[in-house]
Formats: sequence, C-alpha cells, structure tokens
Amino acid sequence: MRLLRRGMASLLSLLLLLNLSGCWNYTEVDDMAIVAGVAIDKNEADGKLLLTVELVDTNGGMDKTQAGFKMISLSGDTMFEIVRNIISITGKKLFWSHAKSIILSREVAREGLIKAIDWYSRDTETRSDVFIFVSGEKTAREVLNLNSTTETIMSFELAQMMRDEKFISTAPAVEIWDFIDKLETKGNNATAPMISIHEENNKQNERVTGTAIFKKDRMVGSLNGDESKSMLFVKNKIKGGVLDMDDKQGNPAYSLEIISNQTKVKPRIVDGRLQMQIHTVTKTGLDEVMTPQGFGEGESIQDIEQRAGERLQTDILAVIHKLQREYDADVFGFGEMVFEEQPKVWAKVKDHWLDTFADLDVTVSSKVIIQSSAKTSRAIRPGD
Amino acid sequence: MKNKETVRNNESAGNLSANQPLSLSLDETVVQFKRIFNNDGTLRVRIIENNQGVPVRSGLIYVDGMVDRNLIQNGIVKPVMAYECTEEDNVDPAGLMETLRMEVISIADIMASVELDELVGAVVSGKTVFLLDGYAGALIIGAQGWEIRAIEEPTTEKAVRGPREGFTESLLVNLTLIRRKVRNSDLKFVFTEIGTRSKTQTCICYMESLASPDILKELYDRLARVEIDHILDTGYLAELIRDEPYSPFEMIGSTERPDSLVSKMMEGRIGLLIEGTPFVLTLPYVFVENFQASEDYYINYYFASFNRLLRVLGAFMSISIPAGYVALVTYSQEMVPTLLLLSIATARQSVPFPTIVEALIMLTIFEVLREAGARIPTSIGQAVSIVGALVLGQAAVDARIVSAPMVIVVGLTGITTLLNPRLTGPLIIVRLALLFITFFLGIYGYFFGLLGLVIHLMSLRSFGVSYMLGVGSIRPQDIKDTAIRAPWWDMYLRPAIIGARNMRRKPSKKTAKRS
Repeated sequence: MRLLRRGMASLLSLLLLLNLSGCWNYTEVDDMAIVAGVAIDKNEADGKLLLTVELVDTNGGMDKTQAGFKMISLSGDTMFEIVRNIISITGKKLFWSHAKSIILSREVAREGLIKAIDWYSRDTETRSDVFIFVSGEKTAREVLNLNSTTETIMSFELAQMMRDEKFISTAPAVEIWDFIDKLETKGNNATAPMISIHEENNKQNERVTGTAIFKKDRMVGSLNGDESKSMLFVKNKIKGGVLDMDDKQGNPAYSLEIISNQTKVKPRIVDGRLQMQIHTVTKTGLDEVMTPQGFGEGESIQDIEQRAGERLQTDILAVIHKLQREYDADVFGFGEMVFEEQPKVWAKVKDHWLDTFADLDVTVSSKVIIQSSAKTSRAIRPGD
Repeated sequence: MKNKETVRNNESAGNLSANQPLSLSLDETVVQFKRIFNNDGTLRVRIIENNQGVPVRSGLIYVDGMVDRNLIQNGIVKPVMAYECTEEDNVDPAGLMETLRMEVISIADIMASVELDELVGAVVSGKTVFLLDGYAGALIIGAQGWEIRAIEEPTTEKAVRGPREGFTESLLVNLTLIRRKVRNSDLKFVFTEIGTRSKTQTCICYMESLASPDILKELYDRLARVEIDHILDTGYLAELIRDEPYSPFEMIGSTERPDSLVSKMMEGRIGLLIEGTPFVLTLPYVFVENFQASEDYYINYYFASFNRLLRVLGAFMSISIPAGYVALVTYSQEMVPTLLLLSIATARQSVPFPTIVEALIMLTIFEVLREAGARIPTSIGQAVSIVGALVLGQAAVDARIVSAPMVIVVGLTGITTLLNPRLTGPLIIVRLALLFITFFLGIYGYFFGLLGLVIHLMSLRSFGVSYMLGVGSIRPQDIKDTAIRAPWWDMYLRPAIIGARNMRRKPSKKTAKRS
C-alpha cells in the first residue's frame, strides 16, 4: 500500500513536471529552413509588407566547404502571416533562432517600424539580439540580394561586420532589444546603422556607414559616417577608430588611432537655463605621419593634440546642432541624463522635451592625448 | 532414469556419511571411502604393510593431482615403512597412532580426527588421510600440492609506477602477498566456508584496530545468510551481500592488486578473498573509489589530481554526450552556435533516420565492437578494429546511414567510457536512460534525468556508509582524496565514518610542528 502510494505520488509529480516545461518541440535539424536574415520592404504594387528571407541552403552536402543560401520573397498583410505562408514555398518550417540581421527599407522606416518589428520581438523563436539595419538603397531587398555577387551568406557577414564595427566607429551597432528599449524610453531616441551598396570595378559590396535617426518609430533623417562618429563620441560609445588630422596647411597629414575614450555629459543649470556640458578625453596613438619631416619638426605633439581636440570639438558641436535643428531628435539620451541628474528640472520639461532639446545650450570641451607613436619614433626619411 | 537414480544414490551416500562412525577395520573404512567416492577415478588408496617388527597395516587416502607425491613418499610412506613396530604398540593402537604422529611422519601440518565427515572434507580439499588398522581414528596430513599460476602483473589494473604483483587464484598465496606488506599481528584473517556444495574457502581480512566492529558484524551476518550452492568468483558474493540490489552501481569494490587492498584496509575497510579467483572484495565502497587508481598514490599529486579530474570529467561526458547532442539537435537548436548548426544540418542531409535512431545504431555498434574486442582471441583482435574503424565508421558515413557528427559523438562517448573501467557497466545504462528521456523531453529531460541520477546516488548506502561520502562535503578534510588527491603529508586523517574507529593516520601538521 505504501509502495503504491509512493508510486502514484511520483507518477503524479512526473506528470505535473511535464506541464511545467514551457515551449519545446521535436524537430530534426534537416527538417527546418534556417533563416539567416530578413529584409522588410513595402511592396510597390499593393503597398503591403514584402518580406525577403535569406535561408541557409544545407543541401550542398559535405563536399561543399561553405553552406549556400536561398532567397524567398513574399508579400502579405502581417509579418506572421507571411512567415507562415513561406512554408508553402520552402516546404519546411522556418527556424528563426539563428537569424542575425534585419534590414528595413527606408520607406518602411519612414512609415513607422512598430508594425515590422513587433512580431520579431514578440515571437518565441526569434531572438532579440539580432542586428537591425536601415537600407540606404531604394529597397532593403537589394542589399540582401548582394549575396549573389559576394557568394556568402549576407546576413552572417553583416553580423560579423557589426561585431568589428568598434574598430571604425562610423555607425552604431544596434540590436533589436536595444532599439526597442530606446524607442520606449522618454528622453531618448533610437538610431540604427545605415547600410548601402558600395560599387567598385563592377563588384558590389555592402558597406555599413552612417546612422538613421528615428523619432518615435519613424525615421526622420540620417547622418553620414563622420557625423556618426561624432555622435558616438557624445554617447560615449567610441571603442576605437581613427581621427584623421590635417597639417597646418590643410593637407591630410596624421592619423590618430583611438585607444580609449571617456565622455562625460553633465546637465547643469547655468543662469537659470539648462545646459549640457560635454567633456571628452580621448587617448590616441599617432599611427601615421604622411610628411617626410616627421612629427617632431613641423610642429610639436602638443600642437597636434590641441588641434585634434579643437577639431573634435567642432565636429561634435556640428552634429549636435544638426540633430537639434534639422531632426529635432534626441538620440544622445540627453533627456534621460536630465531625468537622472536633475529630476526637478525634468519634471518641468518632460512634456515638451523635444522642444527644449532643440533650444538646449550645449558646451563641448575635447581633449586629445597622444600616448605613443606606435612602433617607431621617427618618420621615413628618404636618403639620396 | 537410471542416471538420475545413480545421482540420487550418490547424494544419499554423501549425506549418510556424516552420521557413520569410523570403523576399527582399515579395510572397512577404505570400503566406506570408496562408496562415498563412487565413480570418482581420482581417489587413491595406498595400503602400507609394515613387517619390520610386529606386522601392522596402515593406509593412505588422497585425491590424485591435489597432493605433493614426493612429500607423501618421503614424509609418510618411507618413515612408516621403516618404523619398527613393537609388541607394546600392537596392544595399544592409540599409542601407536600417537607415536606415528609425533615421531614418525615428518610433515608439518598434521592433525588427528575421528569423524568420517571431516576426513572426507580433508580428502576433497587435497589433504591426505592416514588410517591405522585396528584404530577408529585417522590423521589428516597437509601434503597438498598442485600447479598454481605464477604471480603476475594484474591485467585489469595496470600501473606505470607501483608494485607489479597481482593476486592469483590461490588463496594462501594471496594471503602471503597481503601479509608481506603488513608485518603486524593487527592484521587478521578469518576463514569461513561458503557454498553448500562447492564449500569454497573464504577469508575475511582486516586491521583489527582500524576496521569498524559494526561493519564487520554486519558482514558476518550477511555472509551467514548467504544461501548458494557454489561460488566461483567474488562477483557472486558481491551480488549476494551488497546493498541496493537493483542499482546499476557497484556497491562493493573489487581489486586485483595487493597494494590497493592493503591501502584500503589501512583506511578501515575490510577485504574478502575466496579461493579460486584473484579478485578481492573491499567494503564498504564509496562512489569516489570508482575514480581512484592505485597509481594515483604513487605519482606526483598534481598529476594524480589531474588524472582523477579527467576521469570524473570522462564519466560525465560519457553519459552526457549522446543525450546532449540529441537534445541540442532535435529540441534546442537555438543553443547550438550558428556555424556548428549549419554543418550539422549539412551533414544530416539525406540521412534517412531520426537522430535518436542514428545514435542508437552507432552506440550499439560501438558496444558490439567493445564486447567483441573483449571476448575474441587477441590474435584476431586487429580485425575488430579494422572492421570498426573502416567499415562501420567511414563506410556508414559515406553511405549516409549515419552522419559524421554522430560518429564523433559516439567516438567521444566510447573513449571517455574507457577512462573509467570500473564504471563501464553503470555508465552504459545511465547513458541509455538519459538518451531516452532526452529524446522524449529534450534538454529539459536531460537535466531531469541528471537530477534523478544524483538523487539515486545520494540515496545509496554501502554497509551503512553513504555512497557519496565526501562528495557533497565542504570540509577540506573530506575532499582530500576524492576528485583530487592531496599530498600525503596533508592527509593526516582517515576517511570519515569508514575509518572512524581510529581517525588519525599520522600526527597532524600542527602537532608535528609543535613536537
């Protein structure tokens, strides 16, 4: 009797445990179509959503060293409807957990992104660490279609590119959770990297440079690569990259490799007005000297440092003014900083923050420190 | 029918002998013996007629092949024949017997007996029975001699460093091997007999000042309850007296190495040897002993600890790899790194079977190869590896019956199992159980199964000692000889519970410094 009761109890707890397991299902890997990335366009014909998925083609067998790809486009009213309908083309259920990038066309971005990304952040299979891009070309599809010329899986390549973005710092690397987080925060506006096709010698390559600026979920404009870098300086997101410098005559002469950067933004009340005080300290290494005289002769390190600081300062101010005047979008998260450090002021301005942002006083002081001159201390001096 | 009757007659003869008194007449006793050993061609009876003085008749009964003939010739037959019998002896056969025993027969092991039952037992165990006509008593003379295997290096527990001798099939030789390592009267050997028909000699050995009397008593109790007609290996006993008879894990240790047995006795464990097998039981047994090799104690402790950790890792991998692979590939594809998933998916294209079937096919093939390798003569052993590696591995992948990743999975599983020869059996069972539960429930099932395994292991007891002794402990003293091996100068206590009777192995570091 005791044994029976114990058996029944363990059986019952076993059955109950099975119900707690959440979401799982049995699928063989070869029975699913692995999605690498997706491009979201607006169909020109009927104005509906047009989804283009890049699928990994595993049919090549073991003789191939690299997996191939397949492109499938389908339009429909909602994202999920399209995703399910694609099964009727592939014959296999799409597997989204390994998707790496979403490319949105400029048109979709301008009309509002929520309808395109809600499904992606809601569904159980999709991941929130996927990289988001805005296409600088006419459609998003054509960027994804580049894989036919580069012979690689474009989405994976883009993801790889975003991981190495920190060495260039000309575009923000934005994952979808981050995008949605910025979208939802008051006093902050979302950004996304711009992707375009770079054509050279009839060979097409993708190029990620520039930033798309969003207000709410709508794209309002873009910054180019250099402006993006200045924006990243303000956001304290610079991990690397290059500061190029002219000599006194205005010819390109020096490259400073950014080793580290520290940006502090302080919201302060000056004369009764809110003022953002931005201080940047950038440690760099002198990595290129294009003059035969070497850097020590024409001007001193201190001169270069000072001019680099001044240049950075101007660039940063320029991009802030551009965002204030042209787009009126607070992508730096100034509002959030005011909320954190000057909550009383924030309470007064939060309802019309973007208007306040447009007229905000901003001061910038940049300091560039040259720590080293890379491997050598002297320039290449031609002999006779 | 006829055969059956004969068998029954033999049985009744064997049983009757117990009650029969020894006859005065030599011839009658010999006839009695011949009746008991009916149909046994190895029984030898030698009648010695001595006519040096007063004629006296005596007889020798022994089993051929189990005695040392030279010893019988020179130690018994010659002196008895040369003895000059006096008139006085003729009158008093008991006195004559005493004289023969004390003065004539020149063999060390000799004792008197008057019970036929005891005599029969002595004869079957290789001793020689000496009978005297006109006296209802006999002498049991230990002149055994048979071929035994030489002491060799144990094949199941090889060690690069350490003693190379291993136990043999001979109980007495084995006891010598132990005694030579422990020259201390504290070492006790207690003999008993097990097996109603085989009457196998069994010896319990322990250090009296170290072994726990409770465990010893429990062992005697369990041995007394054993009912079996024969035992051929200590494996019989291990199964009969173990705790938790339904668990796949070994609850009693076994070793072929005298040094291993002695080191365990020095920690308070008890050894159990039987005649006829080189495998000795040690008890109580705890889980970590599965991972210990005697060499661990002889080599550098860093290296020994590394090897132990490898074995633990090996055991874990051996049960986890197939289940983990199935879980990742059929349920939790999102957990696999993208590129790995792609190559698995590519490799699995056009493989007709589901992953679980693939896994079962390959695991079965591996076990078949393992079993074949263990059974077949070494001269054709190479054929197995050729068939296994080439035909079944490469060809199966080329023919797309299994995928290449599965071959890697099974190969890794197999090789990690070999790290733990003591755990091979349990690992196979646990691995299959985990594989099945994973197939039904995914990675959730895998962890569920692992949890069950831990609960099972934690609930086991070996002779009252927790099977997982020291594993869950956070006291440094308890884990010094578990997954790692602490240096000898730091292991100043014996393992808890087992060695509780006399914990201190040597003065502690502190005491040593003070003195």
